[in-house]
Amino acid sequence: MKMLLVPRLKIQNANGLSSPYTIGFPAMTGWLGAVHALERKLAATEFDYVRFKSVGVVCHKMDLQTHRGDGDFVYSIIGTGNPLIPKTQKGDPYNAERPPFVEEARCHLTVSLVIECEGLGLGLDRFEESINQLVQGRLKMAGGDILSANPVEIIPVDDEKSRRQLLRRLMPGFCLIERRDLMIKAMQDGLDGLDALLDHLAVHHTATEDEYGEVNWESKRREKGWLVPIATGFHGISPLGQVKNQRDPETPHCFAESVVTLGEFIMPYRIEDLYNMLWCYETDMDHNLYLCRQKQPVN
Amino acid sequence: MLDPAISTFLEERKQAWLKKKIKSETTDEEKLSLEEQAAKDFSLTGWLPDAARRAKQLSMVSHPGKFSHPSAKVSSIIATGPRQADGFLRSGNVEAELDVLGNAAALDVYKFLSLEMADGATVLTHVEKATPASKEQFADCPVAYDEIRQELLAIKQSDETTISTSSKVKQVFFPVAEREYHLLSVLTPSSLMFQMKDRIRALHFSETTKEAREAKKSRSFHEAGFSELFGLSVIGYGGTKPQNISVLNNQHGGAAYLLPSCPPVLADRKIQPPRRDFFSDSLWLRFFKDDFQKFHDQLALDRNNIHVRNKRDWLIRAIIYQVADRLWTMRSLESGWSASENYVNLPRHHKIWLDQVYLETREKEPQWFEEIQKDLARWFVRSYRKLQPQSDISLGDDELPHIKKMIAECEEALR
Amino acid sequence: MAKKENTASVLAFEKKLVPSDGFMYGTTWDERLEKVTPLKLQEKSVRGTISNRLKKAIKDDPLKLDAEVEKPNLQRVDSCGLAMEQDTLKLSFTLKILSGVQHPSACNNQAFNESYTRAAEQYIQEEKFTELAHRYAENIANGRFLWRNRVGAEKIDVRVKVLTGDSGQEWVFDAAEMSIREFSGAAATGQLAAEIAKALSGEMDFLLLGVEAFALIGMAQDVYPSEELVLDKGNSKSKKSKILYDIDGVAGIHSQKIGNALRTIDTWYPDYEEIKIGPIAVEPYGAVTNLGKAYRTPKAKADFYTLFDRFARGEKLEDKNEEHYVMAVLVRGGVFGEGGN
Repeated sequence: MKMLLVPRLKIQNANGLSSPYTIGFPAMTGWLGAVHALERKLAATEFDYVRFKSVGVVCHKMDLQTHRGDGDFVYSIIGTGNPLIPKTQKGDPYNAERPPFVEEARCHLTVSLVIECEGLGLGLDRFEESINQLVQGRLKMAGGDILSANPVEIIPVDDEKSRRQLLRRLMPGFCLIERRDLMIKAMQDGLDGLDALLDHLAVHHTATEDEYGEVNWESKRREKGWLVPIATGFHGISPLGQVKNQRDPETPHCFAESVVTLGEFIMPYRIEDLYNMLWCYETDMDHNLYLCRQKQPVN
Repeated sequence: MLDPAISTFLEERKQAWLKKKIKSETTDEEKLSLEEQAAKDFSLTGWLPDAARRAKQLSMVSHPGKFSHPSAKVSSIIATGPRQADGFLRSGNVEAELDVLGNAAALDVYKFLSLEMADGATVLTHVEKATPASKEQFADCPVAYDEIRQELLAIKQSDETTISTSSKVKQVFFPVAEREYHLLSVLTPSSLMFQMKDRIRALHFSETTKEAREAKKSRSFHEAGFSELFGLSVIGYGGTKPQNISVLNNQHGGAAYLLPSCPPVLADRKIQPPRRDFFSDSLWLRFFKDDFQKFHDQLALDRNNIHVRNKRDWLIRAIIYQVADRLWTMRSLESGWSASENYVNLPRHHKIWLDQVYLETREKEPQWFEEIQKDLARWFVRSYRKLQPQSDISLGDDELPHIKKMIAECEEALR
Repeated sequence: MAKKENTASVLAFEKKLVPSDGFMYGTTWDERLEKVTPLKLQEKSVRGTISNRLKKAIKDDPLKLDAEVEKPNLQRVDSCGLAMEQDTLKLSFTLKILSGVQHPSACNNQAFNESYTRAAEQYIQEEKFTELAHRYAENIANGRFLWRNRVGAEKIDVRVKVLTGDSGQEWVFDAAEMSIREFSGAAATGQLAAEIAKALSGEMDFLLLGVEAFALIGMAQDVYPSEELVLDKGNSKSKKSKILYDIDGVAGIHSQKIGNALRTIDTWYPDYEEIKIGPIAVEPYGAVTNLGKAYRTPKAKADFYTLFDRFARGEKLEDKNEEHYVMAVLVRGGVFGEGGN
């Protein structure tokens, strides 16, 4: 396996609103989307035949732009001022007002990407150089600007040793893996999609009383591990077709919503099989699902 | 007999109307005539035909476009999807009431349609299915049932001839095959979003939760216990005019909750580096209790086949990884911390291991790692004995080499 | 004109000037190139002065007035300043300059796309972005991005380094000598402007600059990081009334704020001579937020949309300045779909 390591990308103002239910690390679709865009940009180089098959994302640092006042129960989003527009009133013709806007959540991140390459043959140096140019140039990532990146490297991974060496390059950091298995299990046990999620994220406080009347309160989550809700794709909610104001009239269109499941952030040394951290696209047209999926789920 | 929910609904409207109309200066005569008029207007036969006509001023939707941008104009969508244990929070996997858009003056019609009749189904459901119960309720109306029904159901029909998305909606190209895409206009499922808010609020603020929280404070018993979510954020829609976005948005004060989805933070300001020994000072045995218990259960099995051995190794690794997690929180401290005289008693190989100031030393003087491996193995055996004092397995000569081997295999996590 | 056929209801451009956040450090003028320490935010309580209009009953009763004035009106605010022994602020950021303004990032009308690209390419060919680049360069050199920190500084020194390629080019500008009220076309910024123009017009793919500004503002003086715009949903009463920006514990200026300063090059708006506020930031309606004004109104047909409609369809604009303005808005980037949907 030839892996392309894009180490320590510094990204500013990435989209932290990963779905209408979640805030924090950008949605998986944002990362795969950026890597797909990178592949498309290769079309203008001699490496137009190279394909990126799957992607791992490791977060070294994240700074979400929210604020919580002392004594507040919740965080508020820190916005950016939108430019004013003219006021349609009499008086000073130059009077202006703030137009209605939607709240957008932003975060700054340092991440490393691990990209599975297909078709790479000779000219690895030139390939690396092309990727460096593209990454530092016009590429955007998860809606944010790439401020800087360390030079990329092609790392062949064909045995235990090379795998471990690659993983070590990703330390310290947290690798996002899919834990849809936990959601599925909870839903099979009868919870609906929302309760299955909340049940795993909540801290449960339970009391026990022993034979002497001694009461003991215990607080814990359902599962060990750093579980988070993550947006991994979209659910089509209307038939495919053509509608007005499409971004591209030639592409079949449908309305969609984000789908959210459970994910887990783990330190890279816990990865036993690289496929456990690599994500790829998958569509399930029978169920109108457009997904980013783990190549080899952990469970 | 009028369904109680319907009669209560009409009675409430009537009283509200009268309260507005009857002033202190209203004469008894006028009062009487107002009451007569109200009785007529707010009887089902008087109210329903007019209400049915107004139903088309509203539309029920699951994904209103104005959540994408207050000025986005998007066709009304009612999403459906099969309920499936596919592990996704999405439309179809959660039951939630639909959102409503349109003329606020017609909202009473929506409220009427949302009423739960005696059997628990809403008026709307009854009307959609044209149930005998609903026919019976509307029987006295001067307008034919079918006509009323058609008019009421306009709330779920769009009169648009062309479907449109908007430049203000996020439109995503999703690859479906080599160089083939579908274009997805990603909308906000306001009904699910506010369903989540309702459930979180119930979780935090219900009467049972309040009781349980009090019980925990006073260390007394509570059968149900309680659950809570931390780190929630709030996002606003529509600013000071939530009603411009949707009915549900207005009902929820123009604010929804967001669940946190952030990676752990290694740097912990409260963390104290070890003064004498990382293993005894910085590892809380309590955190390892479960894993050592499971490990013990495996050892205690009579069988010794490949599955047992694999499971046992998996548990050893799990414990080593937890040690490694702790190691990396230490390494997130400001480098050079170990030079302070607080740490004069910390062995040098621990300093090299934990303090990032020794990043290069780690490569140049590799012997520290052997010491760490020995310390870790000794800690492992010691912890097992402490946590399983009754065990007659001593993790002696048979097991120790194996644990050392496992530690060596996990080298990358510990270096 | 048959407008229907070439109307793009979806149209968007990525920004072509991409600044990072600005990081703030404290130092001394003499040792500014050797030794700097990151500036941290501090929280302090300030006694607010009574400035709101008092009720008549209070105003007329000296006792009540005294009591009112004595009332502790304590507010918690963030602040930031140099250490006792420091007299100089250092602000550093990077700036990426990209080519490709002739290609929208999204456009759903082929005919429009073609006519726009033609118009943009013609502009690039004729102008090579010389005028815009020269103004951007001056805004780097004059330290406008220091905002309030620029006011009253005795000396300001701006150092710019090319971080892409191996040229290692570097310039030092005496920003205090330069005006922020007008663009002089000074020769000093010529080389920097040339590099920026090359990147914008696509002679090179992109350019990355490192910018460091040093302002001698006096011992232990206050400095001014960006203020955060918290869309507050909390209900606690003990709120901080001013929250400043920091990145990993280092006081900072928002990238958006730096971008705004760099594109403050619009001297071409209708009443420029009369209004006397100098150049304004390039915005679709010429908006100046802190004044609550927008100086390019659709009524005067001076707004971006009016001009761009014509420009993109191949019409000649009144003069070059209008073209400069239109191109500068596209360099700024944004979502400009027609039809308001």
